[in-house]
Amino acid sequence: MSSKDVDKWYSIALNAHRYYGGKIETIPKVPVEKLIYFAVWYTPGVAEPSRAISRNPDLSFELTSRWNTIAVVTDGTRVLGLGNIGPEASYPVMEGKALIFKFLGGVDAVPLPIRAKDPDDFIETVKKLEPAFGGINLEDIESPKCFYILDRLRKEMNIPVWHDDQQGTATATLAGLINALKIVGKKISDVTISLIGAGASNIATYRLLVKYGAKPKNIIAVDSKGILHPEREDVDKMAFENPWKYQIALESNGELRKGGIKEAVEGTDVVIAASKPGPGVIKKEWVAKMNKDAIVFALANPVPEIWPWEAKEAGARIVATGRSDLPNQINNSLAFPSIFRGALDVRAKTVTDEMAIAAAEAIAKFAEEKGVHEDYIIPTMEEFDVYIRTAVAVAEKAIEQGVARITRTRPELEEIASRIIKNTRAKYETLVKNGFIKDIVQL
Amino acid sequence: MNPDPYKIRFAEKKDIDKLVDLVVRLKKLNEEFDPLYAVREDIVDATKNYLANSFDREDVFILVAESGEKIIGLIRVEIRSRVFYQPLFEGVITDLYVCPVYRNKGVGGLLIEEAINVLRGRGISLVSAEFPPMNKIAVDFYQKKGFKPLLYKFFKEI
Repeated sequence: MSSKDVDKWYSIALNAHRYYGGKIETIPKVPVEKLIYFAVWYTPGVAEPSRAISRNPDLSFELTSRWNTIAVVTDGTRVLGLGNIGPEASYPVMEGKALIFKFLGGVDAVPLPIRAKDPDDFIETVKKLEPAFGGINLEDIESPKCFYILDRLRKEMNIPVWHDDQQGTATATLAGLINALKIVGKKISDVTISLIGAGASNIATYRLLVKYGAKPKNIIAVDSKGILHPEREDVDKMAFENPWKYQIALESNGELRKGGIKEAVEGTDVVIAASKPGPGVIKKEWVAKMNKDAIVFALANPVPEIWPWEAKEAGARIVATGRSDLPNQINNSLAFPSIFRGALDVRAKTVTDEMAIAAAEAIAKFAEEKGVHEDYIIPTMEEFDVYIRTAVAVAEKAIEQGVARITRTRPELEEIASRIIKNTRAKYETLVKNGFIKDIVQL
Repeated sequence: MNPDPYKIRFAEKKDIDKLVDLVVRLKKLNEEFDPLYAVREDIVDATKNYLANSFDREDVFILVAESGEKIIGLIRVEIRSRVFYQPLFEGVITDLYVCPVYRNKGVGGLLIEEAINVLRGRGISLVSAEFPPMNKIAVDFYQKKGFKPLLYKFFKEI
């Protein structure tokens, strides 16, 4: 995307946000034919569901909208590439996320930027929200505090807590990698992987890859100061500043390789870059020194670390980016709507790493069944059925691991996910057809 | 697997280059905590002198931890008179460092244990440790080993 194109989107977006006054709203889903109906939905009738829930708080998942409602929470400290712009300014992004949650996963999501920069204050605030929501999606929180926040909230809350910048990207990356490895005929347990960038997403990707079977010793991670290894001069400081990165420095890189991106990439099978916008962050000559059938994921936006055609000229067999206008978009929108759909449908208490892996496998399988090749390793956002399939896989894994509050069969899960996602679309189309939602071209 | 993979022994003069490396890493870590811990420009030479002098002093000893032939950690202890209090002497751990890959494997514990044995052998019944209070890892470590805070040291630039 050229900078001129981007400027065009900026101007349209500002006008559209002003015109529509934001992007989502709450509307009733129960009949209110006459005012007397409020005797059911409100006083006096509503006292009975309240009494029931007070005897058994888990009934709040059956008798209220809690079962399908999540909060999209941020402190506004690392919004897009804009940095620390504050909670108010992060609202459009959170609301956009909520829109995608609803549109793709049928999940009701509430944008919730909160004014709490101190991580412990943030954690305490989010914990207090638990009675209102079936899940928490954390968003745009700066690294490394996002790791501390996620690890603690996952441990201390009884509803799923997901940090999409970490886990969503990691899950989509794993989905793409599973198929890329199938195409080149290599195994996750054998490949050497260089991770370029050690921010939220790549640290989460490292953790998920290892859980999936990659060998820590076969992974070479690079941050802005070079390759991570246990003898690096700043490693002691890292133990205090970023214990998650420190852990990677200690256990990865079995050969004690040293240097920068160039040295990291050489002789590896897979590159996963989530660092800074390119082009030229990864050079052609470096990719040329990778192993045969190299896989290159260059995920920086708006411009990937290396252009796909450059990587291919240098011998890469499969290239993926974060962009929708290029083949193989590694897009976390493929993961988060269905992960929450699946988790909510069984009233899950958490999203485990295994549930994320189940999602990645389901996404990969969906593409595989349609026929994978070098330019199709992962479905696109338009392939709606992938959301249903993934949601079912996530829900089944939650049941299997004992983190689901309720048990449902596969046909039930398929029916529920499919109905909710399809109904959302049908309702939206009805609003459009009746002129309640006007097309953006009219602006 | 060797059930007791780490050996503790007295440091020797031939170890000095490795010891310098470890102590410099330890001091550079302290830079993290406060500008007053910014290391001097000639930190390597200063550390070398500091350690070389240690070998000549009766009241100082240094132990190292080895994995195979490789030095992976050290402890330096200085015996000080307490002037007003009893017991009359304390063995002060001035420096304790374990290489990152060997952490959480009990090496620090072994170094302290052996240092305490040496102190006891010299009739000393009190051991202490000096480190920046912001070093949470050290705070937790010494607390776990049964140490308690007994002295405040406040600083002010003038």
